[in-house]
Amino acid sequence: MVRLADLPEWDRKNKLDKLKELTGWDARPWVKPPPLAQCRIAIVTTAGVHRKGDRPFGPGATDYRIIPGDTKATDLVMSHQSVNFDRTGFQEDHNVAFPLDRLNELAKQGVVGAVADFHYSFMGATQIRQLETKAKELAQLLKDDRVDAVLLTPI
Amino acid sequence: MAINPPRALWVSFMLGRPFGVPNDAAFQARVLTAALRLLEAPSGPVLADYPEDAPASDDEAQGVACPVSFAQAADSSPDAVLVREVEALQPWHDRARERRGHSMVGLSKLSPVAAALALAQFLRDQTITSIDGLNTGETVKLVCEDLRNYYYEAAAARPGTPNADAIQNWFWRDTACGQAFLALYKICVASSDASLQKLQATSLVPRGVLLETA
Repeated sequence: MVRLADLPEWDRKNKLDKLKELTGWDARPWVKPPPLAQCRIAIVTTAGVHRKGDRPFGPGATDYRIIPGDTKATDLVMSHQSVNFDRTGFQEDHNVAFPLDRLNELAKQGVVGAVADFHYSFMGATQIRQLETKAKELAQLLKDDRVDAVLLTPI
Repeated sequence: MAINPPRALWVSFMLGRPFGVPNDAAFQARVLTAALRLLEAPSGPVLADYPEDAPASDDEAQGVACPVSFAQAADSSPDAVLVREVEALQPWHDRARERRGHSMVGLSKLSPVAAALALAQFLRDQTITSIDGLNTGETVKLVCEDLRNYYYEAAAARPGTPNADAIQNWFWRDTACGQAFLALYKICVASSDASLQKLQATSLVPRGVLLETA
């Protein structure tokens, strides 16, 4: 996650204004997963990425796109609605926002136990509360995929 | 942090690059490993600061990323200027695609020249042919995404590998396409079409550019 202090003033204000939407999450879940070398990991991002040919995200999109674990990073594109973040890094190397290749490498090296069959992307420029329904649906899908821990990569 | 994630890693990288550095697998792996190691914390919540910064780009001083000079004939129509610019960038975009083995251009399913003509037409008469049944704002957005990705990818293929700021400054200050986007922004702001209102809010011109040109 980017530090607020590193953002321009207007963007810091923009992020802080979203706090108003975020009341009511008082619980802070704490789960102790298996040792990392036995953890099965999935990536869930809000970067608005998907495979070429998948439906692009539209304004206010609350659904997700499925990214199968064997997707090549080069088959990914981005249709995030916000233009207020860098695209050039992702154009150059998708792993800078969606580190699927790196995660697969860590699994091969035995640093993590396994990589999930499916990863998921939301498009983050949406009222956060409106993502709740699909996020809950996703939690069950991740359980069905025997995922122990999720790597969240916000943009 | 307002949604109370149990474990979080702060990074100092620019927004859009949570793993820091493109084409540096070792760097990305270090960030990823640091994030995953937070799973081993015995108690939480955990909010850790990642200690490493992305290396500074060595071309910060270069203001212009443009590989092509756009000589404009005085009698050129805006459409012709835009199309000529798109055509002039084609060899650099070909080079970018060849080097990376992929391109993000293609959301609208239009060629870059066709996308430029669609944008030019919209600026003229506020009409555009719908893509896959999408509304006006959504269609314009896909056309603009393709054009911007095309320009940014082409610019990044230039010798010397310009950085993100140089590419953005070039696009918004020095290209006919950037000027067309700014004209489009004004049309959207004045429009009563809700889909165009949504487009102008966050999906067309970066806020930093708007503040600069205001």
